[in-house]
Amino acid sequence: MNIAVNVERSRVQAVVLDCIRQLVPTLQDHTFKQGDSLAALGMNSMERVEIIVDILAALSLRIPMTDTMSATNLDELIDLLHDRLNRR
Amino acid sequence: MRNSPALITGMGAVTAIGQDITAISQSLKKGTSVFSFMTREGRCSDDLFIGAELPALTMPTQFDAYNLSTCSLSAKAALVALQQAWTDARLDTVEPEKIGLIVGGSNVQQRHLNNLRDKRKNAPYFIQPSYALNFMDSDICGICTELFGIRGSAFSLGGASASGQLAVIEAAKAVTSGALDVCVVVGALMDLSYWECHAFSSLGAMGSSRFSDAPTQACRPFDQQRDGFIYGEGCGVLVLERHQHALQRGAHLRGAIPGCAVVMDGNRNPDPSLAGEIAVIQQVLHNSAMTASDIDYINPHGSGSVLGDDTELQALAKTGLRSAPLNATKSLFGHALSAAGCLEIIATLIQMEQGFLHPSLNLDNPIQADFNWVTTTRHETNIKQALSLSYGFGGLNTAVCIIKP
Repeated sequence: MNIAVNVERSRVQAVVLDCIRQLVPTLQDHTFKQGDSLAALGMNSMERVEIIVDILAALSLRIPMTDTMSATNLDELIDLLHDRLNRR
Repeated sequence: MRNSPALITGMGAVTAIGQDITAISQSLKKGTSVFSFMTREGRCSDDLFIGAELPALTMPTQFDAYNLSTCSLSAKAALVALQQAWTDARLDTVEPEKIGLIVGGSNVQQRHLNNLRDKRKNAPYFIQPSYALNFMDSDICGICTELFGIRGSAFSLGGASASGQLAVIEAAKAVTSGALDVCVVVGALMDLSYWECHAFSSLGAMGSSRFSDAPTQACRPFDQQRDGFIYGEGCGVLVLERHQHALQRGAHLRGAIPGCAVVMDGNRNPDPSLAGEIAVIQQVLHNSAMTASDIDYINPHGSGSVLGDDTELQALAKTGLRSAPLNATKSLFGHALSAAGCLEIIATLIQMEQGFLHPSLNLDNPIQADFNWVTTTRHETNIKQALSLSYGFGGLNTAVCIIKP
């Protein structure tokens, strides 16, 4: 857990979008909009948890998976992760 | 009264020497092989192993919308081969509830799993959730039934190197009993990691230290210089169909299975049993209402095992099959382990349909010269009734008779 506090939100957003694009090649050129959610982007439950774990690993953020489930879209997910990173 | 034999109405395959039936047919005719030191991630380590690896798979475009990034190589190969067999058998015209699936092979996704573990070895907490699906062989059943809309029964079974043939035998039972109208069999790609390669090598089952300077000569079933099996990636898919169902819908008949047999030695270990092999041959001939003289081609197990090949020839001699022509398909494909039984039935069907027997590579000095070997050049011949044999660790002996429909 060596990520410094005060991680920029833009850094978290970049990690999130990069992980999505890596797992879902069809979204390589997708322009993400406010309110986009993993489910609405066509990902099934397996793909959604796969991406979340990739994101958590990339951020070295060890939190229970269930903590991320309150986020209903990508913006909320990024806010949630950003908050948890800066709370450490 | 005997049931009408199960019919084979479709097939598909990916191997290192061809990624569809047409390409594989050409390679069998030419006697092509591609053995070299294997380079796939998670299979090569400090020690290199000789084998035959698939070129990059060409996934059917119909799967473009499906995210396959968490699927193993075993699953992807199954999809490619199943798509070929599905099209060949025209299964789009059959009700999904009438179609079942058996995946032959257990613990087939080892390299994929090992790569996932290696990726997160310092942080197991972040292991990919898809690992929980991948580590179960039912994963391949799930992927295939989802993408092809199969709604009959589906399961995987394990029978070591006889898995593919054991799956064919179970499928034949399912369609001859009427439990299913169609049963698709996937002989799954056994994806070895460096751990399994080392273990097979330590066991003395996998060659070849003897031919480490000449990888193309390492795979040599039934030759005096053999020193173990040489691995080959591959996946074979067969469509078995209830006799009347196939005839009623005018399916293309590729072969028929008049009889099968399974005999257990009662032995956990890898060593073969002459008694078991004799028994399985006698049983399959009996179940097929044939005698040894009716068999005009044998596709043997022929792995290149020092003891196994010798035992196999003794069993063939003692069951009156010394004069039937035989070759060694593994000398071209390599040993595909769980997929071998399916791939070798496919090779048998190709040879029956096209009227040839493929060469056996590196069979310079057969351990018994008085068999009817096909060695360096292919034979043009008409095969009507063939015998395919598979043997597996754990005392498993299987045999299938195949006839022209």
